[in-house]
Amino acid sequence: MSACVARWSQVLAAVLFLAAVPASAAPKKATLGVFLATSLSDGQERFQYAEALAQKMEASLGRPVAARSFGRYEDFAKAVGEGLIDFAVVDAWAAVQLGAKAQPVAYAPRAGETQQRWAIISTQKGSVKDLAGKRMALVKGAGPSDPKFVSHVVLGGDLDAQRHFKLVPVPNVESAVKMLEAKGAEAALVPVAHAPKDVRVLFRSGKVPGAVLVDLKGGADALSQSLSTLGGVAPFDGFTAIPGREFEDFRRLVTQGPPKRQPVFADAPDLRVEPPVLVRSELLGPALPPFADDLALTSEQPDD
Amino acid sequence: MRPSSRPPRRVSTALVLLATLAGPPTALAQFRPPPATEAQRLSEQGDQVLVSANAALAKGDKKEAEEKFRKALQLFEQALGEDPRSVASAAGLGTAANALQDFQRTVARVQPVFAQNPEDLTLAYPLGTAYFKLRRFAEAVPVLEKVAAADQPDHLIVHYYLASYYLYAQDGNRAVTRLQRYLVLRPEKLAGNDFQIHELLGKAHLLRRDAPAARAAFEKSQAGRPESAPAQIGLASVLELEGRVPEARALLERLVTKFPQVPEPKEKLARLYLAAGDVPRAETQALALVKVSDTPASHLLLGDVRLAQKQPAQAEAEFRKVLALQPGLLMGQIAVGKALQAQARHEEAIQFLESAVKAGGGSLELWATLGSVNRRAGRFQRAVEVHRRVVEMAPRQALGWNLLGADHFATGQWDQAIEDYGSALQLEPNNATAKQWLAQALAHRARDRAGTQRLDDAVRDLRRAYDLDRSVPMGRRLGAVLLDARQYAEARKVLEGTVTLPGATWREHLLLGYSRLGGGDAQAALTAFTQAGEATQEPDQRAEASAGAALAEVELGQVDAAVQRLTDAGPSKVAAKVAEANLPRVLVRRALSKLEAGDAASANRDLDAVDRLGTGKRTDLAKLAVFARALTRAEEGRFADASGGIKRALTPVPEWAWPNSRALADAWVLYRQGKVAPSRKLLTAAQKKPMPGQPRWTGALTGALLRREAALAYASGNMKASEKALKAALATSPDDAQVQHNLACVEWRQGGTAGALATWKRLENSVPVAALNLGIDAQERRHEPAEAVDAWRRYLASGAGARAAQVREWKERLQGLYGLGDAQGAAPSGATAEETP
Repeated sequence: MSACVARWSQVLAAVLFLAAVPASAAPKKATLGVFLATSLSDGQERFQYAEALAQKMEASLGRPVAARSFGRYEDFAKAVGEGLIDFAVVDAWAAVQLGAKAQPVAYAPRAGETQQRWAIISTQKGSVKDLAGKRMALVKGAGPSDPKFVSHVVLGGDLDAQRHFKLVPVPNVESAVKMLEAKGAEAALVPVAHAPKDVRVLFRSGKVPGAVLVDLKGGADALSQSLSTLGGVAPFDGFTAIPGREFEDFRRLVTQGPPKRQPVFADAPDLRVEPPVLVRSELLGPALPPFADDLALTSEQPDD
Repeated sequence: MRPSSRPPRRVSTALVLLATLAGPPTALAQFRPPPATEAQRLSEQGDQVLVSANAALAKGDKKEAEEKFRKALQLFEQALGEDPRSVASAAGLGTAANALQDFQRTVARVQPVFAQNPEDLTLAYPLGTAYFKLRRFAEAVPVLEKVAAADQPDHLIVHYYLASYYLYAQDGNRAVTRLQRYLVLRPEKLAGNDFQIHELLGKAHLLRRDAPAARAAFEKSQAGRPESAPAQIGLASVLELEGRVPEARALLERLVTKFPQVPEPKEKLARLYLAAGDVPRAETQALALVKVSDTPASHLLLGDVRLAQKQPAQAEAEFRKVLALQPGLLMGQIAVGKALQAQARHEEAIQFLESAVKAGGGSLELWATLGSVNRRAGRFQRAVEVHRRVVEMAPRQALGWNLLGADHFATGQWDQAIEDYGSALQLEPNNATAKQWLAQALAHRARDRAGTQRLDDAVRDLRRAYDLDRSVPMGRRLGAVLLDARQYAEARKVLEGTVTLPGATWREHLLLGYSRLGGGDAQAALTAFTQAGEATQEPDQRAEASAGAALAEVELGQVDAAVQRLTDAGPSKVAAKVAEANLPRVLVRRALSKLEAGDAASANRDLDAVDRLGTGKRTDLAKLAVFARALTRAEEGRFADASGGIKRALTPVPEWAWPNSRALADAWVLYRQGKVAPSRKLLTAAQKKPMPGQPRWTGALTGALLRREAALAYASGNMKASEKALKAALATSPDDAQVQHNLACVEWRQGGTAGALATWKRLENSVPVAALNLGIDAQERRHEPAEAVDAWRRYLASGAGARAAQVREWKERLQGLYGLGDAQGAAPSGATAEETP
């Protein structure tokens, strides 16, 4: 909290300083929000990342950029709702929960990976099925939609998390692990990378988008253009474009769940063309050499 | 030498005596009651004197005999003066005059009476004898044949005369007949001289080229006598005839030592040496011959040796000696002419022969030589004039026409030469010279005609030439012109005969290969090309054979091997040209084969190579390349390019395309594009007039369109449309397991799950995706994760393709959630945390 106050005083000072400059010449300051409750597992790391990134973005955007790192989704969502954040680096699941106002711009890959797997970890033996009715620590987002991410994305629609578990909300991934260790929950949902070595991984999900840069005030194009010169900021690599409609598909998966599996057709291979049916290439017979030389005769003459 | 100019003295003396002895019966036949006329009386007196003359001759009193013959001649002349038609007087006169060697008188006085009594042998015998002695053979032979036909022992010598003439005229058969008749008729007291008759018989058989008979005759002549030079020379000739030249030479070499004074072995031996090109030895024998025999034949031989030694001036000197010894000798005159010509003294040669012709009164051979000398001197018009004279002189002989043919041949006037040799063959159908040069002239004309694209005429000429001259070169020419005329079946027939002839080479096998290839028998063509390659060691020729083999391989579908051969055509320029002319076509065909095998990338590589090589003036090939490229574009999903290419390639419709090729190709591109309805429309139109080989594939395309339609409808949720299309597909191929399976999918979606499950289970072994669907049913409808995991495991175990990653994820998720391990028991529940890709 103290860090947050200090930050605010800095911002205020900056605002005052900028107010002294004629409005027409002063580039407008932007605010970078960072909410990485599951991608990073340490508050200091999140803060340092936010600061370092803001600094780099200032250079690439050519305008002042202030950084704000959020420890809880509610705080982050509130700042967004109040229009205080211009753009943010957030966990993908959180970006979905921000709704349409968050326009995804780029992935923040880590070790070359834009996606990560999630794990249900437990101190108990058995399977996920055996955890029926048990408590599972889950990083809190908007609240009501949190189970959707688990059921639709992590469990692929094959298990209803809300029915199967008693979900215990926690602010971030380190809290989830601590909750498990403190036996406040029998299981926890964390990215595989953050699963402690000494716990059991009962389930691993498919790949899920990790951290994503979103624009929150309609400046996606300028932001996108500035990324090429930005470079990486530890622990992430440089931002990379989101291929096609991948994030939209992810958003739909989170909100609507996977489509019901339907029987699939057996694919017959495409019919091949059979040139002999279409053409008579044999009519183009061989080009024989000329045989005129074979008609040659010697200069022999009849004599008597 | 003329046999009759030097009849063997011993036999002729004996025969004259015989004739003399045989005379009295004729004279006695005149002895009859006193004639009623003066002429008869004088004739009877003449007969009596004739008897006395013969008696004196028999006693050996030649002087008295001659005196009495003269007396008899006088009496017969008087008698004939009284009665010019008296046969008896004329016959007596002929006998007396012949005895006195006054043959001119016999002819003058007997011929008129004989003309009135042509069947009277008492006249025919002296008259024929007189003609013969006067070397008037043309008149002598018919008269003597008449006498001989009567087979009278009195006229025995007539058989000998005729045999001598026939030997001179080189008519072996007639000579043999007469000599055999002589042996039958001759009285026993003359048997001692039979060896001479056998010797002549041997010579006659040599003329007939009947070596066994000749050998038998000479051996009879030799039997029981010391070694005889003539018989041994005859045997040497037999050996020569039999082709046993070294033996003949060895025998003659022995004879020249044993009979150093006998000229004939030397002459024959020298001729053998000359023929073998052994000029020094020929010269030795010729010089020895001249020493022992200063005859025209000896100098003729030495002259020929000098010519062979390229000493035409010395040859001329020898030939002039021939003429000095025997002025007007034909062979001598001809030889001098040739010797002059060999010294490039053409004008002199011509003048010499011209004057010889004038002096000699027109011997056929001389005229012939004169014409030929003119030809060799380049005076073709004169040569033709002179040779026309030869034709006029001997209209029933091929000689003149052959000479004219040679004149026209020398100036390249093939039409005339062919006509000349044709005329010669009409007179003498087996004349070897006429046959040989008619064939050559026809081949020359054929070559000229082929050069001006008159191929049919050239074929006609060469067919005739090949009939005359069944040789490898002629067969090759005929085969080649038939190939150029694209008459492959005929060319094949000819060349298959030619390659069996002795002396056939790689070239004939090569041409045979092309004729078979052109005729569509690629397998046999490949065999011929292989034989061509094996028949030569020359790299260029082997390269040509290899290029031909490549063309055959293309037709046999061995396109890769063919491309390899043509790409590395070898050192021959001809082979390189064959490769250049054919490689683009071969590559286009290979591209089409690759397309058929579904390898569009390779097809494109071949077509790129075609673009680099170019198709020259072959627009049909260029269009086929465009067509093939269009098909590869369709495979790559570049449908606009594909359609454009098809349109370009098939407008206007090339020869290699069917009338419905455009519709079918467009239908196929639309099918690949997923545009089912327009594709079907084109296909339906194209199917109205199906071309050979199309129904199977168009049927397959119809089925593929129905399946595609069903899939699209299924994907859009239109189960009714999907069901309809699948049922239509099933109607054409009821056993199609995939269609049955897909129909079960539709059934499942429509609520008929039990039926669908039964179908999938039944088809699981043949349609792997059935297991996937069984898993889907288990998980989605019945919520049986264990069953679903099992079904998907089976699906994945089948090695199924595109959906494997997705299904593996489903399976593993369910396994993780429900603790369902794999068959091997590797349950994920105990795993520790680690990142997996």
